Amino acid sequence: MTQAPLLSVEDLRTYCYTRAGVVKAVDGVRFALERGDSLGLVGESGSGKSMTCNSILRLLPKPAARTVGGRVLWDGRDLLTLSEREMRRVRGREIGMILQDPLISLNPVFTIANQVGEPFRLRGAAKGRSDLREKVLDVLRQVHIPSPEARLSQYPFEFSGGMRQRTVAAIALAGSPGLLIADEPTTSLDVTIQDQFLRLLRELQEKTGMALILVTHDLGIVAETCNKVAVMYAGKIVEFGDVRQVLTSPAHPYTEALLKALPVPGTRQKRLYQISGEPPNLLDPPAGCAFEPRCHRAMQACKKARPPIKRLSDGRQAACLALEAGEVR
Amino acid sequence: MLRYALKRLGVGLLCLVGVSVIIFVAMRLAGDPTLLLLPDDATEQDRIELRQELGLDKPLPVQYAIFVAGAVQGDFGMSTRWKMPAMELVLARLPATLQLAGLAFSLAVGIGLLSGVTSATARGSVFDQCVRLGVTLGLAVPVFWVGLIFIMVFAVDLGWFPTSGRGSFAHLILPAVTMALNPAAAMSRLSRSAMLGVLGADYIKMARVKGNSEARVVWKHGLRNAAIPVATLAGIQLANMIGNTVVVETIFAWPGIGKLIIDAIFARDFAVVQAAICVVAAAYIILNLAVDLTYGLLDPQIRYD
Repeated sequence: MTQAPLLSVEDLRTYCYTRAGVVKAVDGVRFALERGDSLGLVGESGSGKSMTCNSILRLLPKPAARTVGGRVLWDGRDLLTLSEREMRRVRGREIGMILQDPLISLNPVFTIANQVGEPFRLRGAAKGRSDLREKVLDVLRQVHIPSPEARLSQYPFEFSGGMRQRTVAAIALAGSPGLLIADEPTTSLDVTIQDQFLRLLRELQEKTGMALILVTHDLGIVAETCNKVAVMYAGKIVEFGDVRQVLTSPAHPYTEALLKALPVPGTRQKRLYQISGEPPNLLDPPAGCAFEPRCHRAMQACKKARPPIKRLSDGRQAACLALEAGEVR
Repeated sequence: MLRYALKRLGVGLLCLVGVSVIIFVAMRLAGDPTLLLLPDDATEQDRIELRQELGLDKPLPVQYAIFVAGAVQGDFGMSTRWKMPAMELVLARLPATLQLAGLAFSLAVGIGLLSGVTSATARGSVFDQCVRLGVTLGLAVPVFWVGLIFIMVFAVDLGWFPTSGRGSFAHLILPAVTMALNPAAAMSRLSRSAMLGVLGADYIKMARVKGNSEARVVWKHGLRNAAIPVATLAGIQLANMIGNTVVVETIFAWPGIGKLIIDAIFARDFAVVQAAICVVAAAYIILNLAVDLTYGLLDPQIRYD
């Protein structure tokens, strides 16, 4: 890798300051993306997936959460050191984001035309009203909104859930970003609409060449949509690599356990596999590996030191002491 | 929407009739105006003649019918004190009240919104704490007391403003500020809480994701969604302003409708009180309708049918 990657997140640390204490929601996250990459960011609730995304765009809930360390290198700049003004230019134009719930991420009191047109207006990309209208219609067509002309003057409450999510995608597209962050974009959609929407994302990605970060806890979606995957646990990436590698032969015991918990269609299982125990309390994380209490490969050493993330011989990265001991597989 | 407006106007008209009945009866309970109009040495015969002349000897329903018959033609009767048509008197005083209420309302909404929204965006800050303290004070202190203190401090001691009366713009400031204080505090509190409810919403985050400036996020995307309760309160306050001028106009000797009503009540000048109350009530009804109609503009989900 001689050329600098499109996005490089280095040792990102975002802490939440709560009444009960400091929660290290993102604790030394590190990954890199190339142009056209699509990264699946997976992990259970509270593992720091969304916090990582919000940290990249610097949209953390203030004043509870703060990024306290690390670098987010984008296009040669460290986003964490930009002024708020410069950051606004990055948001929407260079990095777009799709939020989790399409039903509430459109503003209820503005028309679709107004909201989809806003990114164009903000960067002065449209010459006059008719040009703006054409541009809005164009992105609405790109996300396959049927008869977009009739939809312009409508309001979000007149749209179905799937259409709203498409509209949100259209808004993201309107900024023609180089990277799109989609934070569980399909969680609130039903399964058929989910599938349509993921296909749309792939299609748009192919057309525009933008990179994608897809936050999800559905490994099936990752397998279909992404070429890279990062598995997060307790604020850290525990495994990162090529989708096929990671999903077919997981290196980290946590990834392995996640895959085991997937239902297999066509088979009758009495009960789905369940990872025993609970995720660690991040207010008081264990001194060693965060997964150690639930890990079937735990060794004595796991209790003492946090395993660093290391590159394995096949190119992927994982953070597990058992791997270093050469004990896996 | 037109049908809705017409229906509401019809209901408003009924309200107006109700108000006129109440004020008509209430005034006549207040006492006999002829006792005030006649000199001390007048005979009982003089009094009876005057009552006949004023039509006060007729039964109450008949008096009311005569009043309504005149009122629909714009004739609200003659003032017994000022010896001129009552409505003419009221309309002559109306501009002064509108001026005072207008400035007080603008101050209340301007200061209230600005402080409320800003303190919502800076929740927990020193500014927020100050605003909240100011709101509590503004709601707690009575208007008549503030008016008197203002006169003492700013007019008498410091001499910055005239103590009372109407004339230059400087005359307007103390009464307008006095009147604005309470509604500004209420507006501040309401807009703060309405904005706090809105600012956590996903579409606000979405507005930031799009690259909007913080000011546009708050004042465009945020405030439009907090606008319904704010508009409701503003409408109520504007309507109240016209009636609330009574206290302030009396303290500052401001020659508006409020002062006129007080003077007319003390003079038992039935015609003037009736005319003035009808004007105030009509303004109230029309402003309320206007507020209800703006909801449709503020929230696209509201339809009138």
